[in-house]
Amino acid sequence: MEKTIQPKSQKPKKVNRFTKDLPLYALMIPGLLYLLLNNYLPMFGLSFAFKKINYSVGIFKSPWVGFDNFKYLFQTKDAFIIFRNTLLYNLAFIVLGTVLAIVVAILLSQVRAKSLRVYQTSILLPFLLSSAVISYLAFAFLSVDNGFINNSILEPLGMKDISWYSSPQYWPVILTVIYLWKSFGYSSILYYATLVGIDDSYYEAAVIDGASTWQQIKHITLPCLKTTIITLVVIHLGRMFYSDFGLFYQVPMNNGLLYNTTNTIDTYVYRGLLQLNDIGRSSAAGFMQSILGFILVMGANIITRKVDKDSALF
Amino acid sequence: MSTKKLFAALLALMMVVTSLAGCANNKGTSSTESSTPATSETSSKKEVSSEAGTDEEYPTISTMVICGSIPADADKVAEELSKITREKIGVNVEFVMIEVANVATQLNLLLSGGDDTLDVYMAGVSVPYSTVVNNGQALALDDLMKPYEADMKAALGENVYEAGRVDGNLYGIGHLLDQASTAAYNLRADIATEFGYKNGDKVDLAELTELFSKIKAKYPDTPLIGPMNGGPNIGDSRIDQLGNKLGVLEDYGQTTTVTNYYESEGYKELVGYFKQWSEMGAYMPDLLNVADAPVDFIPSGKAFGNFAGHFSAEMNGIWSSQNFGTEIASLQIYDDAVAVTPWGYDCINPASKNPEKAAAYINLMATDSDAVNLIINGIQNEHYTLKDDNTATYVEGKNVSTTGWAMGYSWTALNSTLSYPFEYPTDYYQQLKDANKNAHQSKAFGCQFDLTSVSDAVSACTNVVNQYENALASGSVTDFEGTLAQFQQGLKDAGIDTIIAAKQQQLDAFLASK
Amino acid sequence: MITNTKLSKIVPHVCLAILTLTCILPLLLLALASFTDEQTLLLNGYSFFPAKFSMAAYQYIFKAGNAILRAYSITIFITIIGTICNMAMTVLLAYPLARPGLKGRNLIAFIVFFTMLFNGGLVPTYIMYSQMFHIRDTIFALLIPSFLMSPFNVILVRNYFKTNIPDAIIEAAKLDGASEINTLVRVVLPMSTPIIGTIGLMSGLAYWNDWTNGLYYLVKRTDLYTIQNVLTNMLNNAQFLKTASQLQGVNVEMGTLPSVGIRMAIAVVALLPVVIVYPFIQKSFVKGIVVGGVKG
Repeated sequence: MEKTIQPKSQKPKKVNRFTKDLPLYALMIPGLLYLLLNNYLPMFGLSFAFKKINYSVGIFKSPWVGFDNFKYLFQTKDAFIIFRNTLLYNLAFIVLGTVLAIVVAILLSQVRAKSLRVYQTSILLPFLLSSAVISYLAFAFLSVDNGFINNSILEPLGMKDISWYSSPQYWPVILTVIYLWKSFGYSSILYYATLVGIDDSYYEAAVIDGASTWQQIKHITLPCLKTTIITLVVIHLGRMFYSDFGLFYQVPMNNGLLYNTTNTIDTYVYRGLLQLNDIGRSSAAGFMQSILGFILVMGANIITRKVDKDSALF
Repeated sequence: MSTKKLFAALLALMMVVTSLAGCANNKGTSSTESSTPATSETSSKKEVSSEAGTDEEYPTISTMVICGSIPADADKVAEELSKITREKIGVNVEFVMIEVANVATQLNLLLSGGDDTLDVYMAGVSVPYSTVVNNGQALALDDLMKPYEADMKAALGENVYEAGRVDGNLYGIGHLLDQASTAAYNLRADIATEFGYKNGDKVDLAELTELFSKIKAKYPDTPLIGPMNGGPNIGDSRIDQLGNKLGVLEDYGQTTTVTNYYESEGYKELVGYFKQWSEMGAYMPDLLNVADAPVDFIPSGKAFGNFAGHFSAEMNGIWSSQNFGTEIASLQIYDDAVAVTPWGYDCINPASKNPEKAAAYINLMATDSDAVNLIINGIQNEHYTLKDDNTATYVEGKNVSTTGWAMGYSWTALNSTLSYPFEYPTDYYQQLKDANKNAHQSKAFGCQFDLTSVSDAVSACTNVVNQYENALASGSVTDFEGTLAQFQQGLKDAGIDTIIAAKQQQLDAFLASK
Repeated sequence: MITNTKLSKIVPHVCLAILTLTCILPLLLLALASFTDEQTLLLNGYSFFPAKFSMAAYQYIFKAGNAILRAYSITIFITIIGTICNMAMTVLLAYPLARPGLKGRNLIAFIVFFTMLFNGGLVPTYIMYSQMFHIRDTIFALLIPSFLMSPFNVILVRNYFKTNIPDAIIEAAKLDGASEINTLVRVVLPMSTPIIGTIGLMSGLAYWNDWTNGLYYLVKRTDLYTIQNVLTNMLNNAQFLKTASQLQGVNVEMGTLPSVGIRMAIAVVALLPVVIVYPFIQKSFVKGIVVGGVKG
C-alpha cells in the first residue's frame, strides 16, 4: 500500500512532507525525552567496565584498566559451564515459551468472554509471584520428606523417593517447567492481543472455502502472528546472555550441589563479587552480556530484513 | 473518547501530579530537618523549633541505624539522643534507618559519590570494611580522631582501635564485639540431660559423634542437626579465617604461616565426621534448602539441635533457650576460642560536610553509656525497663514486634558493652570482654588484607567454596572423599595459591611493622 | 475468531481448564498454607486439607495496621497515575514510528530498541536521579525511574499499528482535515483496544509489582513505601538473618522472623488485589475488542 503512495512524493513535495510530518515528530518528544533521561544519560556507566572505580577520586577520574575487569569471567573452567547453561536455558525458554504462549493464545481466542475471564485471570497469577515465594512453592513440591511429588505421586506409585535438591540432572527440566509456568500466561496475552485484532472476515471466507480448524490456524492465524513472534524472539535474543536471577539463584536456593546445571553468568557473577563488591567487574559482566546480545540481535535483524522487510524490528 | 475529554483528563492528571509534587516536596524538605512521618506533626514541630531557634543552630549529623523493620519511634529516639549530643558535642542527630536486608544496596548507593545523606555509617554488614576502604568510600580518620584517641583506646581496647588501620591509615573504628568465637552444638536440654550433658559442657568431635550415635540409637527417627543461618553452620574455631577462609592461620591463629584450610588435616578430619554423621542419619533432610529457623523446627521436634557460633557456649545456650522457644544446652566443641580482627567498623562518609562533628559523634558512641544505651535499647520505660540487676527487658505488654524501637541490634553498635544487657545475664558484657581477653589472640589480629590484586582468584574461589563447602558440611554428598578431592582441585584451579601468597605477603609486612 | 466445529469447541476448554488448574492449585496450596497453624505446617508440610487453621499469619502482617493500608493506597495511586502516563507516552511515541514514510523512523526505532540491550547500571542511574533531579524521597521516585515508559511496549504498539491499522484509513481521516492527534485519538485508538489494554495491563503490573524504586530512592521517607516494599522487606530481612552466617553474635530474636505461614500470607496479600481487579480490567478489554472488531 505504502509503495503506491511514496513514488509520487517527488522533490517538490519533500520539504512539504517534513513540515507536514512535524506534528508527528512533536508527538514523540515526551517519550524520546524520557529515554534520553532514564536510559541514555546513565549510559556513562558503561565506562565503569573499563575502570577501577575509586569514589574518593570520583567516578570520572578513576583510572582506566583496559579489559582487566573482564578476565574473571573467563578464567576458570566454570566459564564454560555458565555460558553453556545460560545459552541453553535461554534457547529452551525461547522455543518452548513461544510455542506454549501461541498455543494458549489460540485456545483463548476460541472461548467466549465469560470463561475467558476465568482462564486469563488464573493463568496470569503465577507471573505475579516473587521468586522467593516461588522458591518456597518449589520446595513444597520437591522436598524429600514432606514434598508433594515424593509424598503424593512417587510413593503411591510405589516408586522410590527422589532427593531433588541433590540431583542436578533433574534441574534443567524443573527450571524450564517453572519458567514456563510462571511466564506463559503473561506472554500469551501479548499474542492474544494480536489475535483478536485479526479481521473476522478472513476466517469467514476460509470456512466458506471449507478450511479445517488446523488449516485456518496455519494459513490465517500464524501468518498474522508473524510480526509479533519475530519481535518477541528478537527481543529475547538480546537477553540471550542474561538470566533471571531469582529463578536461578533463589529457586535452587543457592545449593552448591546443583551448580552444574543451575549456575549461570548472573549467579556466578553475584556469588563471585558478593565479597568484593566491585562495581567495575559487575559492570564488565553486564557490558559483555549486552554486547553479545546486541550482536545476536543485529544478526537476526539483518536476516529478517532480507527475508521479510516489514517484520524487521528497525 | 473525544479529544476534548482526553485533554480534560490529561489536564486533570497534570494538576493532580503537580499538586502532589508540591506536597511531596514540602514533606521531603521538612523531613530532612526533623524526619517525622506524620506531616502535621512535622509542621507543628518546625514552628516550635523555629520560634525557640535552638535546633537550627546546631549542625545535624546523620547516622545509619540498622534495624529489622523500620521502628515506629525512630524520630523520638533520635530526638532523645540529640538532647545528649547537643549538650556534649553540639550537634543534632538524625537517623537513617536501613533494614538489615537492604544494607548492601542502600549503603552502596548512598556512598556512590558526592552524596552527603550519611555522615556516619557502619561497614561490615553485607558491605565489608576492606571494600569501602578500597573503593574510597571511607574518610581517613587519623587527624580527626586525634583528640579522642586516648579515650577511645581506653574504651575499646588498643587492639580493636588499631585494627582499622589499612596501609598505616585509620579509615574506621573497630567495633568492640565478640572478637572471640567458639563452635558449639545446641541440643535440646531434656535430651542433653538424659545423656548426661548440661549447658556449657565441652565435647570434642569424637565425643560428639559418640553422643550422636547414642541419641540416634534411642530416637532413631529424629534428626540431630538442623539448619541455622541457612546452612549447617558448623564453624571451626581452631583457625583464624582471615576474613574469607581462603588462606587461614591454623593452630588458633598462633602461627604466622598462611595455609589452605581446605587442605588441612583439621578439615579432612571434619569431613570424616560429616561422613559419619551422614551415615548415621544425623542430618535433617534437605538441610541446605529448608527455610526453617531453629525456632521453627526445634520446639516442633523436627530436629533435636543445630550448630552455632558464639564467644561462649554457655551464653549461647542461654540466648538460644530464650529464642528457640525451648530449653537448650549448648556444648562447646573445641577446647579454646580464637580472637580475630573485628568485622564491624564505624566510618565517616568522605562527602560529609561535618567530619569533625562526625568524629565527635563516633567518640561519643564509644564512650558515653547514656548515648549508647539509647541507640541500643531505646528510651527507658518506653522501650525498655530496668530490672533490679541492671539488665533491660521489654516494657510490660510489649514484645519485639510491638515495641517502638529496633531491639536486638546491639551487634551493630560500636561499643555495646556500655549498654544494659537486654534479657541477658547481668555480667554478659563482662563475660564478653573476658572471653575476648582469654581467647588465643590471633597473630593476624588487626591485619587488614587487601585482595584487590587477586580479585579474579577470589571471585573464582568463592564460587568453588559455595559449590562444595556446605554440600559437604550438610552431609548431602554420597562420595565424601571424592568430593573433597574435587573441591581441593577446584580451589587450586581457581587460584587459591595466589590468594594465600598475597595474604602471606601482607601478613609478613604487617608483622614487620608492629 | 476461528470458526469452530463441535469438537474444536470442547478441546480448547479442556486444555485451558488443565492449564488453569496447574496455575491455581499451587496457589491454592499457598493460600491454604497461610491459613494453616504454624506447628501443623512444620510437621506435616503443605496440604490441601490442613489439620488446623490459624489466622496468626495475617495478624502478624496487619499488626502494622495503618502502615499496610497506607502502603496499599500509595501503591494504587502510583499504579493508576503511572499506568496512564505510561500508556500516553507509549502511544504517542509508537504512532509516528508506525507511519510509513516518516523520515528517520527506523533510526528512532533503533534508538528505542537500543535501550533494551544496554543500560548504564544502577549506580549511574541513581546518581542522576538523586543528584541531578533530586527525586529521592518524593513520590516521583516511585513513578519516574524505569517504569514511566517501556521501550518494549513501544515496539509492541508500533507493530500493532503497523499490521492492524490500514494506512488508507489514516489517509482518509487526514483528507477529512483531521489533525494527527485527532486521527490518533479518534481513529487509531478505538481500533487498537486490545494492544492498549495489553500495555496498560503490563505497565500496571510493573508498577504494582515493583519494590526496587522504593528500595533505591526512598531513604528517609519510608512512609512512602509501597505494599511490595513493605512485604519484600519482611521477606528479605527474614532471609538475610537466616543466612547471616558471616556475622558472629547476631543475636536477633528469631521470634521476629516471619515463619513459613507468614511468608505465604505475604504473597496472598500482594496477589489478592490483582485477583479482584483484573477481571474488571479484562472485561473492558474484551468489550473494547468487540468495538474494534466492528470498526475493522
